[in-house]
Amino acid sequence: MPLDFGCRPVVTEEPDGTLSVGVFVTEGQAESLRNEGYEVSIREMRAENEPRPEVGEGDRFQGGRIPLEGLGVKVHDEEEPGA
Amino acid sequence: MTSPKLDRYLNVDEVESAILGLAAEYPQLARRITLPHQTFEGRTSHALIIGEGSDPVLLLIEQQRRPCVLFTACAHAREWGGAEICLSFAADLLEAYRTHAGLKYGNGVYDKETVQRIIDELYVVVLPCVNPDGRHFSQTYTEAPIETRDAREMWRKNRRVFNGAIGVDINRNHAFLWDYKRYFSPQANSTVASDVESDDAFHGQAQESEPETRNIHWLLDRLDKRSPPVWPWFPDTLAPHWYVDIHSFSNSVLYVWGDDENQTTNPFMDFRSSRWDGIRGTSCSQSTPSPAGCGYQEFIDKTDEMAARDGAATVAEAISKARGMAYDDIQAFNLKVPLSNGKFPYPTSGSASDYAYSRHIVSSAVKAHSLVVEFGRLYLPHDLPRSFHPEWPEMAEIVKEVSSGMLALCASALTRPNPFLLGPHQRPWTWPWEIWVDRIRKMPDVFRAVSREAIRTVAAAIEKGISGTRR
Repeated sequence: MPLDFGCRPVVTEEPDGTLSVGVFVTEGQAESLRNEGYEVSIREMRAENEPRPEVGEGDRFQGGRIPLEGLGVKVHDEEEPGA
Repeated sequence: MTSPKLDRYLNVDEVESAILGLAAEYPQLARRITLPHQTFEGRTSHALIIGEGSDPVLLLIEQQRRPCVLFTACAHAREWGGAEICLSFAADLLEAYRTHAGLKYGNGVYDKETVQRIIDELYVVVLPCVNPDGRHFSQTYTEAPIETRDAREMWRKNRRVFNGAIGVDINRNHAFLWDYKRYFSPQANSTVASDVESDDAFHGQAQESEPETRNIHWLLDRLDKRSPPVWPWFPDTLAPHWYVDIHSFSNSVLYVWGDDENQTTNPFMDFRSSRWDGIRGTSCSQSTPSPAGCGYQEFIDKTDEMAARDGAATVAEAISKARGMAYDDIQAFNLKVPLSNGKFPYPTSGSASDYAYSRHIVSSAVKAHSLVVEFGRLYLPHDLPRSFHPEWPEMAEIVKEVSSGMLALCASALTRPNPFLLGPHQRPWTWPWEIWVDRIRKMPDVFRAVSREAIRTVAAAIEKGISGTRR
């Protein structure tokens, strides 16, 4: 059964020494994993009012009329690079 | 006009506007490139090429002598932050160049001379959103009923509609060992690819079937055309390009190959040889070897592997330095399992990075060293949506640290390699017949190009002389 581990499966060691891996599955797939003997703990679906990553609305750059500014700090000669 | 702060993720329209805006703001330094293949939902993607000279005579001569560093992102729909990384990095480079400034990302500091040289001596190309249809679908998850929101937010593929299923995994659709059932061992991990349309790693109905895949190929072909015209015959002696595909997550920088473990001793054991079909993709260093054993390892030229390792280490080190977030540099096939001694093989077929590097082996393309950046960490307890696209304050920090790695890679690409250090793939007597045919076919072009180049050089010298007299 192909599972969705994301781009790369990330495995972590639990305090009791067992290894666990995050996987995105349907309820049916979770049940199949249980039947195969894996311990499956379901993370509840997030509530509607839980904070979600914000995505811009409309077009803040107005079709290219406003240029985007990068997040890096521009260091000019008169400034100390480490400032 | 004041620029809005990059304080949240960009939607697909804003990605396009940001590219357009940078090309308009810096017309002497950057140009927007329209990619030829429209997506299934009818979107047109664009890339930004930085480093176009303003002097038309210099452009004629110099544009064909620079290596390119190509960054692509967001092939996987849910990995939103790659677009912001590419665009913020491009905006930083352009502004710093114009204002003669250096750049600082946390503890990563780059002087103005480095910035100036990068734009003067390289082409830096960003394709911020390979898969806009998928990104749009994922980002508009709040429009879905609550019970399907998580699945929509976690969308990975493009949005091609099949009978009863949707989407192809762009990063399994490239022309490199695409037919995985033929090339890979049945024991290889299921991460290789899938031919089931509803699976997340569905590799498409044919290699290069997807417009998003073909857009990347088109861009790589186009960058090759910037090589000196005499080099269709001798592309291997040119400074190599770099190709970096940006994904999330796992705090790592990966280098080729992705299909199997690397080896540097047997050039005949490589992806072109049918002798090894059916046994690729299993690991020799697995704690529990597969029944198929480890009969196959992918050949890589020793100097290339060193260059790829060095490139990955340079990027990982620069990212880590920015704010202290540790990144690993490892071969794509191998995944270090945290807190364990073993390795977890992660074979892939049809990936963009393997395809990009393999081009110079199967054709007369200029060599492109390939890396994959997997930005961001796992949020416990296994919060996958948050791991793929963390809340913005964290993503802003990731944008800065990955930008530091991108800048460090560009700076390292300024150092030209010794063209006389040729590996087995560069020796004509080891070329397969396809390369001989390709190069012989190009001979008339080479002679014509030599003539054109001589005329251009004379014209440039005359132009330079006239300019000097005017002064």
